[in-house]
Amino acid sequence: MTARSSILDRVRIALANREVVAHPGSFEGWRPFVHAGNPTEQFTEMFEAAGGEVVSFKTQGEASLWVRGFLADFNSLSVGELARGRLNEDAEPDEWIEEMDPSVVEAGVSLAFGAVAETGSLIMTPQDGRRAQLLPPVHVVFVDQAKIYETLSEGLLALKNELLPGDKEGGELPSAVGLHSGPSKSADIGQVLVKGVHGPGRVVTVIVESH
Amino acid sequence: MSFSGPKHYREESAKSLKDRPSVRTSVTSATDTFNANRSEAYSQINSDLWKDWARDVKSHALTNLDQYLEQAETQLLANGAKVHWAETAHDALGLLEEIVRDHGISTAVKAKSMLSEELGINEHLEHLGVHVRETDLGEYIIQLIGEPPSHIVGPAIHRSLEDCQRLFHEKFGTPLDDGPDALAATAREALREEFLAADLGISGGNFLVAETGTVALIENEGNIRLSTSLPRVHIALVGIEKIVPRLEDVSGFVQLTSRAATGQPIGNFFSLIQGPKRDGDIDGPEEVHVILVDNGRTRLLADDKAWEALRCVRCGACLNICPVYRQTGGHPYGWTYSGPIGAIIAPGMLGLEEAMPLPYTSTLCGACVDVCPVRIPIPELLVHWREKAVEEGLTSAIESAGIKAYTKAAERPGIFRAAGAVLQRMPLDAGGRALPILSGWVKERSAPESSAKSFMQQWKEGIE
Repeated sequence: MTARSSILDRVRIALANREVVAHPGSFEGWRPFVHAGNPTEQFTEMFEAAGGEVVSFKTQGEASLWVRGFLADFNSLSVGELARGRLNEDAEPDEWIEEMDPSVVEAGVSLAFGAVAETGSLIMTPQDGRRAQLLPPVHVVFVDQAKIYETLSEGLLALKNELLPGDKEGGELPSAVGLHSGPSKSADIGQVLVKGVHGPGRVVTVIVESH
Repeated sequence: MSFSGPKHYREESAKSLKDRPSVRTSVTSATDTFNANRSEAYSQINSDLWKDWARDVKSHALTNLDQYLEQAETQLLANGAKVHWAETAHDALGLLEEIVRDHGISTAVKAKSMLSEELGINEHLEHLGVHVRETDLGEYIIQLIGEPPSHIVGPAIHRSLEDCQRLFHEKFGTPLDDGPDALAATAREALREEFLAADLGISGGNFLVAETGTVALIENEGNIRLSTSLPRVHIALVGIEKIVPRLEDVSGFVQLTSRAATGQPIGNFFSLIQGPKRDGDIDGPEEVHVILVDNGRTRLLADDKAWEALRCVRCGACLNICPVYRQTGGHPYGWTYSGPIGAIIAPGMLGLEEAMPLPYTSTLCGACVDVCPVRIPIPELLVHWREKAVEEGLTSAIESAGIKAYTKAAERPGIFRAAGAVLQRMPLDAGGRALPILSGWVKERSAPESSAKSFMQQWKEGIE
């Protein structure tokens, strides 16, 4: 008898006379949002409260221009696959960013799949490269305002139903998804809050109002 | 470093209070912060509705556990992950050993996992010659010291800043007055090298979604994301009770668990892992192994009352609020899971005899049930195990005799009243020596005056 069948048998014996409990249905949140009907404002408030930074621009061109200026202070950069086109939009060739391995750079740039207002979270997919999202001490993330979902459930369902590169068909999640809801932090040393323990200590969300 | 079992609880807790007063100070201060943050976070939501929902989803999953486990397995396999089943800790270590040998693994990074503590993963890896490194900052600190975790969420809450300063000074030569920021930067640098070099990443799993085959992990530091993203092999150790049916269920659970544990709306990093790197992915592990672990969980599931404890999401709220846990932290409990939740799952998972005296490490004040996000009836289950302990003759002869005598007296109103009248006139101070079996309790306490009339007398006369 395999471990699998032994465990499942024991589960079935344990449950033989137990009353089955019904699933209560969807998680509704059951709370008023401070910024009901305005997911962008709700996201911004939550993300900033967790220690993150948020800037917002009307067009991708304006956003890219600002990010290139912001990045000028850093000596080395790594740019995710999906973010590359965004970063270089409207750029002159001499403005293009030179890239290096994420494990040695000072800042990383990514494109989020979307964001969640309820929790103040960026939804990061592996297509952009997980290392660029995690290893540099500063992480700059583009997100389109149209993809800031009100609730986490909505965000996850949208992700599941989107056809992603590498997928044969829709209705599947990518290999790994990371919700980033602020900088890396810990209070494990003497219960004092420290930022940037393993992941980025500074996360800047760049909202693009119309792409 | 592993635990020696619950049986030395009394001696160990007394020793901790007497010999290491700083533990009580650190644990009380840390749990005060956890409690204040949780209260604030619960006040921002309709926590009653959230808890009802979470209780029912978990009970639903547990009462259909066989089907959901099979569904999760099917889905994980479809995602390209490998699935293993382990009946015992011994079996889980054997599976781990196979993977280590198959892949020629020599270094491993570990994300915080209570199940890995329960199974003794670190000792076994070291025995196999694998260099294993804990990467959660708190876990890293206690690994360097060589002690087990003291709390489910904050493994090093019993250690003060001064303890950490001395430790880092000894290990890395950092100045003794380095603050938390500088110490964390030292740890970041040391651990970064290990992350980049590791062959294997080991994690636990907060939730396992049956519908999508997703291992979900909550954290704040980013070490779980790194441990599950950088090494070429990832092993997730998941208890079979961690099942939730649907993807949208984790939306509720990650928020409720975060609020209950640390008072955050959500942990700063939340990983949803479906399987290994796919075509089109730039990085990620080549293999993902999910080890589904029983190790006493089906035994707990078989108990008609205590099975409800399997709803636990390991937020640590019941530890933080417990007036007993707060005095000593987790070490005296002698087992991976301490505090109220440990005291009700240990008898089911280890066997009652092995778990003694954990069901007695509580005042039954009921604070734990008020904060539990999945409404586990902890005090009721403590009493449940105490009753079983008396039935099985596991309690002291005096307690068994006392409870039997009380039962007899309580069944006979005349005797009960007479006994009450005697007790009313009995001196409770130690000098009076009226109650020699209580001398340990009364010698440092003064008793209040007995009321002139018993409750029953007052009840009859009408209480004003």
